[in-house]
Amino acid sequence: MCEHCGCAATPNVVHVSDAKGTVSAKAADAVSVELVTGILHENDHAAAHNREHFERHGVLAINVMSSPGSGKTSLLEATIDAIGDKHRIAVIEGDLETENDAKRIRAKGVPAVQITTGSACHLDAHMVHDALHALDLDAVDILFIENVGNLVCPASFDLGQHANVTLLAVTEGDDKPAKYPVMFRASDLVLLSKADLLDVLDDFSPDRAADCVRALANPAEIVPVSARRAETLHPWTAWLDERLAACRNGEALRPRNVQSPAGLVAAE
Amino acid sequence: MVLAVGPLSGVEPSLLSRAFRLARASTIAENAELEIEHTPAVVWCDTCGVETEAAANALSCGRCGAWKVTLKAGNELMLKRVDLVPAEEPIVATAG
Repeated sequence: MCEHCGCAATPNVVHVSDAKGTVSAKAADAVSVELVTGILHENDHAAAHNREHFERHGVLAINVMSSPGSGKTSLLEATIDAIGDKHRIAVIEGDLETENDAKRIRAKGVPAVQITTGSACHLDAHMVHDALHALDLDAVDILFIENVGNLVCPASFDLGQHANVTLLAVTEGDDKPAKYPVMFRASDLVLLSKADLLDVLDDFSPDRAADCVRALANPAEIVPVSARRAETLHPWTAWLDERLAACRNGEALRPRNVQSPAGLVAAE
Repeated sequence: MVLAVGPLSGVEPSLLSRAFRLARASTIAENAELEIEHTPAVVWCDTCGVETEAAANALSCGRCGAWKVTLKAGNELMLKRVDLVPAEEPIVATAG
């Protein structure tokens, strides 16, 4: 019988405990190799490579995430209308199928590359890297990467972006940040989209949404915007201007989930 | 293989274990065992300087309730250790 836990360990199995006192079983003749390696290392490596590309070309890269139908593409169309004459914009669109969103962006005179992921529910750094081959980064100031509409998986994959922007439409529940904590903890800016509907929706409280974001220890600004009301976009475009200036100034901008990446916290 | 998986990693340990059993089948690693350590979310309070465990969607300080905290653990998805057991017979890798 095993001395550690009293289990019926076979003669060639022993139990070992690590520094934290966690007990695990291993074969008596096994050789242990201690590793502290992020499982997503391969993706993170490709993401760092993308980020180097962006920084070499002075491009600010923004990962735009939300659930499907929160208005990511409409916001980008309105953003192009608002600042397209001031900054050169390009867009990478992620969807399971169709070229529809890229066509909408191109109709605004802005280069767009559509990634169709098939059944995959998120973009990863390799997909973005492949899409970059179709863009001339020397002709771009701000690159928006519109992720697949999904509040789960996109939060786990670094693409090489400088910041994460998450849309929470006021037609959704104001407790979404509590339901999808990984996503909203990773957000550098939360945009309450379709905010022109706040007047007629009595069940969405921006304060409750903010409380849910703060409960994730996230100080991100929470800004109501409406793609249908150009005057509401100013805080968002000012936020972009600030980041673009910082990027051009050589500041190493990193999204919140890359500042404390999975796999490195416990290794400190 | 020993993994550490935290509640903020974006990975569900039970689903990962099930997928691992399928992924290892008919490969050189078909007898490999996966062990997952469930690490709790731990936050350090910027205000009172105390470390407390927290739920994934309620990371405020467990002592004073302040939301300005630093995550010390809980978002890891990490390969911590592999135990290599000598094969009784040489393993011949096959293509594909």
